[in-house]
Amino acid sequence: MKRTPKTPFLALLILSLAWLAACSCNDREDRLAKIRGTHGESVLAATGADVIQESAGARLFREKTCNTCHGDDGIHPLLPDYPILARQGRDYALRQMKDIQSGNRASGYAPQMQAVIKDVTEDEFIILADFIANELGGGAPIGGQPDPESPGAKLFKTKTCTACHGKDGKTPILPDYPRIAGLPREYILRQMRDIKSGARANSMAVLGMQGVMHLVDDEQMTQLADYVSSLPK
Amino acid sequence: MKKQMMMVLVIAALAAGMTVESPAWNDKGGEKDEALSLTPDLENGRDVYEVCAACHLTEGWGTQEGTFPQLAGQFRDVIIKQLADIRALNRDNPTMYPFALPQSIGGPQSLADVSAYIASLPMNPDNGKGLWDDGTPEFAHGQELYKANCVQCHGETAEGNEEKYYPRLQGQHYAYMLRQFEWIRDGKRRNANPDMIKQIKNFSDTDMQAVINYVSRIPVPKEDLAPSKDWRNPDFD
Repeated sequence: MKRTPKTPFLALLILSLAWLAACSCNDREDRLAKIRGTHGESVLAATGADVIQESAGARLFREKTCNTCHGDDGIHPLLPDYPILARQGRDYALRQMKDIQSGNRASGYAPQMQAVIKDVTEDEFIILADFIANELGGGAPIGGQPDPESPGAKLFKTKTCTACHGKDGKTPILPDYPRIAGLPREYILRQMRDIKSGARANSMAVLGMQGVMHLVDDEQMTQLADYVSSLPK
Repeated sequence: MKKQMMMVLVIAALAAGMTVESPAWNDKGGEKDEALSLTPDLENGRDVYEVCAACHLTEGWGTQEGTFPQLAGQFRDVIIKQLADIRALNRDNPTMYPFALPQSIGGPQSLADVSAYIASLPMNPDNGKGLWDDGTPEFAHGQELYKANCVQCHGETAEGNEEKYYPRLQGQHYAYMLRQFEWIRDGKRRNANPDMIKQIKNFSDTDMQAVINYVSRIPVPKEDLAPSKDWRNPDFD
């Protein structure tokens, strides 16, 4: 009787050893270099009359059809409640892509996105996350003119939002917490509601936010969304 | 190569049916003891505390509705133990977690500094209280329960015991204490003292509300309180 629970562990042990033997230490770096090399920085892509230089990330962003919903520049998404990706933090972007693929984040439009990204590899996610954080959208301005006298501005401070997201909404306390400044109003509102209700519960960061969401009611969430969406990214 | 060896060892340990021991309630050693042995620098403690103030307020009074506990006046070793436990993931607190990390508040010296600063703050004269005033049957029931179950460790006036890491409960917000009590009783607060879990395991929800109501109404000695509930911490002007 006592032997039964051990069998899967032994199988796991053998499998793991086999897997470890099969992959080398610098495996990930090798693979990333390969992807970068094939589609990489030096590749010239011809579009009509123009010849433009395209990075591996930019190419993946198109190939994996990210641009269809999130916009070519990552600033003008297809619908008002899709997120702006430009200037999002690398670690946050990476975690969300992986969580949406695994089904760990399944609220809102996540299932639709899951269907699109089901075959994207982890290496490609890393390249995309770097691209989103460092290249996408260039230097174009995002966000508007925040009103420091608005009710949302006050709530942003008193309801502890700034503690994690930073006073400017773009200096989060940990790298896998989101930069929220300038995100679309409808998107912000949906995330607040889903985190409050528990529909979105991926990662400790989200659970941490859930712990304070009872501090705001529906009207206050709307005021917060107004303010945060107006913050410059 | 080292990483792979580690993984093999971990997997081998799992395969051998070993379980990872959860840490004891209050193990000796580690950064907790190191922090307690260091001489605190109050000025740096004030600077470190700025991170905490976003939720616990500059006065360290937390919020009356109990989302954030009052920290002011708490024992140094209790603060250090909780910070160390939260950042070592021995106490589940996802909201607090990023603020307890070394990259947010620093290492053992910072723990020593911020805990001394917190302990030095005058307490909130208007903490959140339960529903039942002195003279009600619920108050009396709570008082009885407190004397039978809690006095031995937390003391006659809920003053706690610094030497033993037993927190001071006087002046704490009702809703915060109620939540922690329930989590301790139901095994959700993993860094709880096992003696306390045993002591309160048969408390009903009604008992729990009554005893916490009583504790929330135990007066704090006047010399430990701020002059009024409108007092503002001048360190953060």
